[in-house]
Amino acid sequence: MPGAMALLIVSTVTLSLGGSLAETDRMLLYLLAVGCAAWMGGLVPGMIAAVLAVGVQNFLFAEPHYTLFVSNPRDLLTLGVFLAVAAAIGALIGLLRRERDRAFDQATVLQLLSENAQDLQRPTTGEAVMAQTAQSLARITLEPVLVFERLQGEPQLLLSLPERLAPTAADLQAAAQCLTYRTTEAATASGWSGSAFTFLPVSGPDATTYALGYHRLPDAHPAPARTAAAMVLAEQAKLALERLDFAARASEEKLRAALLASLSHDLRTPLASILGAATTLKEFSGQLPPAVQGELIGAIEGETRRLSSYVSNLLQMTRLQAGIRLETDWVDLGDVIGGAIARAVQTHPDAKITRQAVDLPMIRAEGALLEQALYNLLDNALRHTKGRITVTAGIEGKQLDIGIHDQGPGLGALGPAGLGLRITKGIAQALGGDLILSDHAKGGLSAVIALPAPLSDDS
Amino acid sequence: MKKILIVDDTPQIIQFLTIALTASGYEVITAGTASAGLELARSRDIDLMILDLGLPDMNGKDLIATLRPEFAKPIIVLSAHDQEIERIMALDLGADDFIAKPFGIGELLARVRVCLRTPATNTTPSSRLVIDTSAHQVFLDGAPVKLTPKEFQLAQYLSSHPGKLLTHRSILKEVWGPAHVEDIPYLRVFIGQLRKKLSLGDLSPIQIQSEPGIGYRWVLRGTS
Repeated sequence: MPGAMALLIVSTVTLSLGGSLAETDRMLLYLLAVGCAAWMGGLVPGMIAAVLAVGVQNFLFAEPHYTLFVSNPRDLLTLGVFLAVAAAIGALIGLLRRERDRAFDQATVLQLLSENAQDLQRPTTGEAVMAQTAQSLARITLEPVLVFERLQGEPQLLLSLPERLAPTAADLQAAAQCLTYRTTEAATASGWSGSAFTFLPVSGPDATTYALGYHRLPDAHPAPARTAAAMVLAEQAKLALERLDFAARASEEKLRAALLASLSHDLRTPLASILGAATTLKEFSGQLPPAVQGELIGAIEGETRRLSSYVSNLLQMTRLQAGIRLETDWVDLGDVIGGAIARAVQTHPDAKITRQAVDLPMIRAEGALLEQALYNLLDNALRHTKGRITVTAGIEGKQLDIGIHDQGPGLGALGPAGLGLRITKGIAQALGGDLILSDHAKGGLSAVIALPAPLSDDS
Repeated sequence: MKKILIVDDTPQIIQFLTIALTASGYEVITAGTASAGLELARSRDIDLMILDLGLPDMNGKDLIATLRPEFAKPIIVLSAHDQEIERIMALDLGADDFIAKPFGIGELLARVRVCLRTPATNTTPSSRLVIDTSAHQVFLDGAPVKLTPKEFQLAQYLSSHPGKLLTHRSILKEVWGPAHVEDIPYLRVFIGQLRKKLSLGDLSPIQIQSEPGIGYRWVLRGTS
C-alpha cells in the first residue's frame, strides 16, 4: 500500500512536470519512492515497489508510451539497471527497517519484563502473583490472556483479560492438559480447530499449579521476542511463588520458635517456684514461723494450679492438632463463664472481674474446652493489667459473642502470641467460630470469642 | 550480715529465695526489674547478686555488662537449661556462677556460700595435695609430682578458685593467653592429664568437675 501511494505521487509529479524533468532526475524520484515504500512497509513491499516502479516507468515513459512494450533496446537496458538498483535499495532499507523494529520491540519487551519483575515483589498471595503476571503478559503480547488453576482436579478459570472473555471448551481442554502434565500446550495454527491459546504451566513449590495462557499472536507481529517473553514471565511467576512459600515458611518457623520459648518459660517458671518453695520448707521447716510456712505452701498450691492449667492447655493443643472430634453437648454458657472466672480468681487472688452477661442461652459446645478458652483470655488479661476486667456475652444476629475486656496496654503489648491465646483461637475455630482481638474504644484489649449462635428452635 | 540482692520478675521465686536466705542469716533486698536491680546494686552496699537472665525490661547479659565495671561483688545467674549460650555469655561477661532452673534451695545456698567465701581462706585444705606456688612444685602425699609448666599453671589457676565455675574461655585466656580462648579441645586434654597425674578420681577429696559445654570447677569435697 505505502509503495503504491508513493509511486502514484511520484508519477503524478513527473507527469505534471512533463519534459522539464531529466530522465535521471525522474529515475531518482522513483528510487526515492521505492525507498519510502521499503521503510514504511518493510522488505516485501519494498521489493514489490521496485518492480512496480519499473512497470510504471515502462508504461509512462519508455517508447511506445502507455504500453508495456519496449521498442528501444537502450530503454530496456536502462529499465533493467533501474530494477537492479531499486531492488537492492528496497531490500536494504526493508531489512534495516525490520532490524530497527525488532530492536525496538526487544527493548519494549525487556522494559516490560523488568517492570514485571519489580511488580512481582509486592503480591502476598499466589493469586495476586498470577494477576500481576497476567497483566504483564497482556501488555507484552497485546492479546487476550487466560489463567487457570487446578481445583479438585478440574481446571478453574482464575482470571481473564479482558475481563468478560469466556474460555471455549477447547481452551478448557488445553488448560487441563497443561495443568495435568505440567507441559506447555501450544496454540493450534490459525484456522484449525483447537485452542487459540498457548498455555504455560506455572507451579509453585507446594502442590498449586497454574496454567498461564495467551492468545495466538498475529503473523505480522515480531513474534519471537514476545513468545520468549511469555516463557520468561512464566518463570518469573514461578520464582515469585517460591519466594512467597519461603516467606510463609520462615514466618511459621519464627512463630514456632517463639511458641516453644514461651512454652518452656511457662512450664519452667512454676516448676522452679514449686521446687524452690518445697525445698525451702524441707530445709528450714524447724526455723520458719507458721505464717511463713503457710505462705510457701500457698505459693506451691498456686503454682501447681498454674502448671496444671498449662498442662491442660498443652493436652488440648495436642488434641486439636491431632484433629480429634469434639464431644459437644448442650451446656449452659453462664456456667461455663462462671467456671472460667472461678479458676481465674484461684490463680490470681486479687483479680477484679465484672460479669455483664445475663439471660445466657444454652449452647452446643464442649464445656471444658470453652471454659479453658475463656480462662486463657482472663489469665492473659490478668497478666497484663491490675485493673478491672469485664466479661460480656450476647447474641447479635447469627453470632454469639463472648468478650473479655481489660484496661491494660492493648494489642500493641501482646508480643508473639503465647500458648494460651493460640489455644483459645484453636478452640474457637474448632467450635465453628474464631477469636478476634482488638483495641477497646476506651483503651485496653478486647478479646472476643465469636461463635455461631444456637438456633432458637433447637434451644 | 551479708547483703544479697535478688533480681527476678517472678514473685514466687523471690518469695522462697527471700525466706530461705533470711533464714540462713543473710540480709535480702529484692528487685523485680533490671533497672531497679541496677539502681540497688549501685546505691546499696551489696555483697552478692542473684540475677534471673530472663527479665522483662533488659537482657540479663546486658545488665551484667553494664554493671560489671563498677560492681566487683559476685553475681550468680539463674537460667533455664535451654539457655546454655546465654549462660556462657553471662559467665564470660563476668557472672561468677549459674544455677539452672528449677533448682533446690540447698544447691543455691551452697553456691552462695562458695561465692561469699573470702579469698584468704582459699588455700587447699587437703593434706594429700600441696601446691607450692613459689617453688612451682606440686606434692601428692608428700611426693613431688612432675607437671609441665602449663599443667602447673592450670592446676594453680583452678585451685585458687575452689568451688567456683570457671568457663573454658576464662581458663584458656588465663593459662594460654587471649589468642587461645577457642582451643577448648586443648584444654580438655590438659584437664585429663592433670586428673591422671594428681589422681583426681570420683572418690578423691579434690575433684575437677566438668560443667558440660561451659567450663570446670575445682571442688573440695565436703565443703561445697
